[in-house]
Amino acid sequence: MTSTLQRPETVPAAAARPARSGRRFSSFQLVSWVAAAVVVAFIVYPVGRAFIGELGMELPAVVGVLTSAKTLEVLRNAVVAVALGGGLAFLIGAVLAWINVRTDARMGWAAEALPLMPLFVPAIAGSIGWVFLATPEAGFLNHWLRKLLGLVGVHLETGPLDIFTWPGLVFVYALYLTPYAYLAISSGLQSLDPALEEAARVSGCGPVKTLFRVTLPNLKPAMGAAVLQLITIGFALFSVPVVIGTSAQIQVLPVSIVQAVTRKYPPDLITALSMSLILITIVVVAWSVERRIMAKGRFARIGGRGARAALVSLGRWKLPARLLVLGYLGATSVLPFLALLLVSFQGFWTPQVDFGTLSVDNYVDLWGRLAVRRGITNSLLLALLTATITTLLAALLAYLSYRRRSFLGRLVDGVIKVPAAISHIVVGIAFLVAFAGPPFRWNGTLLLLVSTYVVIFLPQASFYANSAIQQIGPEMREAAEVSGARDWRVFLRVILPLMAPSLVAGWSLLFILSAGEINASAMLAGPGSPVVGQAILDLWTAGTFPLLASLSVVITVVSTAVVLTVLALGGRPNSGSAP
Amino acid sequence: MTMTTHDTPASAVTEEPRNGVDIVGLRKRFRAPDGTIVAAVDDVTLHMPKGDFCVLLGPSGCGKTTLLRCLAGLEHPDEGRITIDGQPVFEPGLRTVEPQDRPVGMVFQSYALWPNMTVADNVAFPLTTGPRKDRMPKEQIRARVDEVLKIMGLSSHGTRAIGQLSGGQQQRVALARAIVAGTDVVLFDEPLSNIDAKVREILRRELRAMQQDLGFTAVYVTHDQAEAMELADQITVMRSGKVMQNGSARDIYERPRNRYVAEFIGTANLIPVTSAGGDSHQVATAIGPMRIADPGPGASADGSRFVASRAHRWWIDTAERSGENVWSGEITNAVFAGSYTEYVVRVGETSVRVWADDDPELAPGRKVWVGVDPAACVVVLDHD
Repeated sequence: MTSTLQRPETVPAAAARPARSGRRFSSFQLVSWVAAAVVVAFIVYPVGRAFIGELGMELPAVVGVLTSAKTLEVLRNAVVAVALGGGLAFLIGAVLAWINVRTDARMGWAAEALPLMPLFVPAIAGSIGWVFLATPEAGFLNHWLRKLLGLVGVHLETGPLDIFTWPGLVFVYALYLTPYAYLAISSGLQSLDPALEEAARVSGCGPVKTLFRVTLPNLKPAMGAAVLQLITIGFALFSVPVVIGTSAQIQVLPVSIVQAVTRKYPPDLITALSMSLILITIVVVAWSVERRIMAKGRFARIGGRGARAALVSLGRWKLPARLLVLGYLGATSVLPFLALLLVSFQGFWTPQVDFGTLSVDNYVDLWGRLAVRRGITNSLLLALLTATITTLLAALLAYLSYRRRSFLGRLVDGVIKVPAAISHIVVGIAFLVAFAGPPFRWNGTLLLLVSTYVVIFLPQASFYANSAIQQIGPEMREAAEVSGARDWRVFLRVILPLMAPSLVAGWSLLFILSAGEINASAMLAGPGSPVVGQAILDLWTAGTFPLLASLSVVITVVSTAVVLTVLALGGRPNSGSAP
Repeated sequence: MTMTTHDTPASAVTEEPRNGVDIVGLRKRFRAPDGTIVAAVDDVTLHMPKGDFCVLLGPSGCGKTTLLRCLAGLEHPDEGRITIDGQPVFEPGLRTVEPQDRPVGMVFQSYALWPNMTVADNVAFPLTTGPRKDRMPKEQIRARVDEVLKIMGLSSHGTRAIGQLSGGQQQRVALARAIVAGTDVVLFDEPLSNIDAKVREILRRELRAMQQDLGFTAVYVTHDQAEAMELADQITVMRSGKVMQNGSARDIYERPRNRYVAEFIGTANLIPVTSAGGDSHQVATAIGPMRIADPGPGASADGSRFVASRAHRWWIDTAERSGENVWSGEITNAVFAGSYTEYVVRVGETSVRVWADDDPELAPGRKVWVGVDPAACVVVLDHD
């Protein structure tokens, strides 16, 4: 502190702010509330029109669809696939989470990468990769396994693996559902105060007893969240069953919904909507059961001191544990990606790899196809628009409800979370019903796709925006207000810059998710508005495997590059959305 | 940017507005999570004279921070009136001036410095918020920021990021931001509570010197009575949203009005008064008659009362004494506290605490004589 304290020179009139009485409603509030109203309208209107306007008129038909043998069959298949695949995913996810959080076999980078697997290798690319690996005749793994077996005198014509079976389908479901279980359980383990376990140990409990009497009971909320995630995402999973289930003659509910729209002319909306009702019911029931369990129990809350428990020493089990983690990463990413890469350089898909004939012709061909090229440019444009609009909207709405905790604010907050519960497919159908026909006639336009994507990805964007804004103490805004700043200035100069790192991370992920969106696109993209997701499905249906492989490689590479960039920028991506 | 309508004549203000901060009949209620209504500020009327250092003192939950936030405009009161330097900023139904339009600066408990801006940008922020045409030219802003940073001893820190500063430096930046626009009232929300005890003492003295030098009115919230005593021209002791007592540090310390203030500030002996009325200078108490030089307003009041006196105004002696306000008793406990030793002396059924120089002869069980100056005694109410 200087000793020459002096009263500053008189400050000009502009700086000394006279007390003024402000107008109640600023332009900022106007803009935010208009934005909120538009968003709510874009969610409530399509869902309402589809399920009340359209379906409400046709109740006998709905009952007919819901009780038909076909519906019961695809529902049963979905239940079996999710129960077995999700159950397996829960087990694998829990074991991997425990290894990576609580044992000395943990590998930091694997802990980071694991929950991001669906972002690195999108489920559609991974499923196609596994087709290339484990088709009975031409699968690479089968080819090499047959050669190995031949050495010991066993000669097979096909197999031994067959991806187009129930076990194959369940296996791929489990692979792509595991990250959701892992994410929930590992964050539960991380936030569980290690002192709880230490207290049990000091009180005379052995490690096993501690696990069952203290650790697991207190992990119930995390496990409940994992199960809820698995059910929500599992029943909405479309890319895995469309690729593997269809060829295996196993029709699963979400695929039937999409096909009711795409394989029929005119689209059989009543069937699609009725089946969607089942999806919604499942999610709502699962959600309320989880709420009830959560409300009943007394569980340890987050310790918050960031203390790390002493790691469990696995001894000679350390190597197998690490191999398990690496095996999982290999099965979800490395193996399918290598298979895709190999086929993408082949003239036609064959397990006999002739390195002399490999070429980049497929990529050239891909670029030469007008529909594919337009699909790619459309998808990039859509992704750019969707990510930007959604991020800004989510930031604005998050600020609105953070500023004033009003009933309206909470209502908006609740409504924009609805799309997360009703899955991409259902949102897609609702938009098709509401906007494709008169009076909007948006069918086959990019406008229809953009608005659908924005609604689909808004819950995820608000997750980012809310977690970003909750880290900003209210005094940051209050200090700006006391300093004389008005709404726009507080938002643009203080709040938005402080949210920026999270928003950038969120933006990038929304970008890749919407660039590869396949569930809603399968129904909404028409010849006038081709997108990548639809191009992949078309190539799959046509059996043009080398082209399909090269397009999948492109998507995977772009996806991985974006996620790695986000990680390098210090963002924390989150894969918590329907794949 | 919000356009503002300029003041209409403040017809509701009946008396002459005074300079400084004027609060009349202010109330602010909150709904607690369990649905009950809590009055955080309950009918507070208070004047903070211009240029004074005014401290709002009380335990957490007493409503002092809510009162401060009402002054800033960050909370909207339910009833009452607030006038800052003669300008009404809150009158129910008439006007609620938003924080950005009030002539106040504020230093937050966490400082609330924006980590996305440099030190200089933080300090310059209040100068860049008005309508563009009214703003100072850029060079002038820079000069003003440099000047304020220099006063704070932060001249070389302008381009630094907030995270690179120590707690004490951050506190100075926060103060710089609060005073840069030349506002006459600066609000402080426990600004020293996050700082080490040693540094806190230094910053406290700096803050007081700077306030005297720059001449702004300071409204300072704290729960630390030592901090309040050192800083304040005026201390307002609050409890459950109400003002318990308002006065100078000396007033509050030596002439507490009720039991709560006497116990909250310093260490007081509270000896129950046993009979009402009679000679107000001679009061019957649990340990016998007590002589009181100036009984204060409590002497003539009804209800349960106490004679309050500070522990360090008592003496203790092993030799027999006699006279007014002298009692014999037995030491039940002695606690060495460095600059003094606290002796707990049993007089009849009552314990008296005496702070005196340490004396090895004064051990528990020893018979002693204790006494207190009649000028150091005051009658206080049990409840206000």
